[in-house]
Amino acid sequence: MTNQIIDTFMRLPVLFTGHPEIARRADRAGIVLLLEAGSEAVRLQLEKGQMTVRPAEGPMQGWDIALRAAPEAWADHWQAVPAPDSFDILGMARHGRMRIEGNFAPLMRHLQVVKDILALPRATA
Amino acid sequence: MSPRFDPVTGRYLRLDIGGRPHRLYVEEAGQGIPLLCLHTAGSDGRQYRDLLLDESVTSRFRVIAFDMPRHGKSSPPEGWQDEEYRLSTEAYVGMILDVCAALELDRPVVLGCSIGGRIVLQLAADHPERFRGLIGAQGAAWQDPWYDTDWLHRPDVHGGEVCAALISGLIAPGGPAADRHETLWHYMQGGPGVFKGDLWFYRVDGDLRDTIARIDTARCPLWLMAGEYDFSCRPEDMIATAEAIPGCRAVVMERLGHFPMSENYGQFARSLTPILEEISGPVPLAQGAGANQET
Repeated sequence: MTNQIIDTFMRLPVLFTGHPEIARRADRAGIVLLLEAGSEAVRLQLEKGQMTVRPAEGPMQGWDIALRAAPEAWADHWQAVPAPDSFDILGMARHGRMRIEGNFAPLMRHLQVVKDILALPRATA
Repeated sequence: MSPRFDPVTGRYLRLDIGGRPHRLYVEEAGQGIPLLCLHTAGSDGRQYRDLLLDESVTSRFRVIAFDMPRHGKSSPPEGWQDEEYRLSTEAYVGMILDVCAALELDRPVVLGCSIGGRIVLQLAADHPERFRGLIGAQGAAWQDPWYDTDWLHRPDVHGGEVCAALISGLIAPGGPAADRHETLWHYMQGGPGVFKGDLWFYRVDGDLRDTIARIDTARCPLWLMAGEYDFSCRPEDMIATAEAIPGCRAVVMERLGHFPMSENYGQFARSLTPILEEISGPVPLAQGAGANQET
C-alpha cells in the first residue's frame, strides 16, 4: 500500500492544476511539506502558486513541516466520506493517526490551502 | 413583488452587562416558551439562522439568538481598546443572566453550543431555578486542548483565515456545502483576539469537572449532545460528563460535527426536536427540516 500512497502524492500537482480555485488561494503560499507514509516520504513544495512533489532523498533535504502517518491512515483520509478519525489532518493528529512536526508558522498561514491540497485525492477516490 | 423578508426580527438591546453599558444585537422569532441560544466561541448568533426559521419550533418557542459583546453586530464595551479580552466563567454566567433579565424572560430554555454547551453546566449547578431546561450541544465539563490558541491572534498569521481553517475539520463531511462555508465565514469575520479570548473560558477558567457534582437534574432537566465528527469536544468527552451527572441525558449525533445547528440544521433537528417536544409537548413534524445532503 505504501507505493500506492507515494504514487498518489506524486499525482498531487496534476490534481492541483485541475482545481484553479485552490491554486488561486495558494498563489502567495510558500511552504515545503514532508509527506511520510510508513517508511517512505516525499517533499511537496509550494512556491508562488507552483507545486512540485519529489521523493525525499536524504537528510540534506529541508522541509518546514512533516506530516507522518501510516499508509492506511492516508488511504482512510482519501475515502469519499472519511470516518471521524480520518477526515481532517488535525483531527487525525488528535486521534493519534498522524504526527505533525516542524515549523508551524507556514502551516498556520496556509492551513486551509494545505488541508485542501492534501484532500485532493478524495475527489478521485 | 413584495420584499421577501425572513420572519426573524433583529434589534439592538441596551443593557448593562457586568455593570457596563452594552449594545447587543438580538434576533428572535416565534412565540411561546423562551429558547435562548448561545453561539460558539469566535462566531455569532447567525449560527442559529435555520432554527429561527423552523416553524415547528417557532410555533411553540420564542427563539432568541444574541451576539455576545465583540461578536457579530454587538459592539464591544467602551474602553475595549485598552483591554485584553478574556471570557471568564463568572463573566459568562453574568452575561447570560443579564440578558435574560433585560429581555424579561420567564424561566427560559437555554441551548448552547461549544462554550455555550459547557456554560449550561454552570447554569445547571448554580441557577437551576431560573431555567426550564438546559441543552448543551458539544458540551462537556472539560476536554484536553488540541492546539495552541496563540495561533489565533498574532501579526504574522491572518486571524480570520486561521480561525476558520482550524475549525473547518470540525464540520462533518457530507452536509450542505453552503452551510459549511457560511459557518466558516462567521469565523473569518471575527474580531482580532475574540476567538482566543472566548477560549480563555474553554481552556483556562472553565474546568467544570468539580462543578458538575452540584448539578441536580430534578431541579432543571439537562441534555448534552455531541456530533460524531467533533474531535474537539468528542462524544466520549460529552458522555463522560453526562455519566457523572445523575439524570443527565446524552445524545450522540451522526453525520454532525462541532456546529450542528449551523452546519446541517436538518440533521441536528432530528436530535433536537425530541428534546424540545419533551419540554413543550408534542411538536408537529418540522417543515423543510429534513436532513440535507451535499449534492
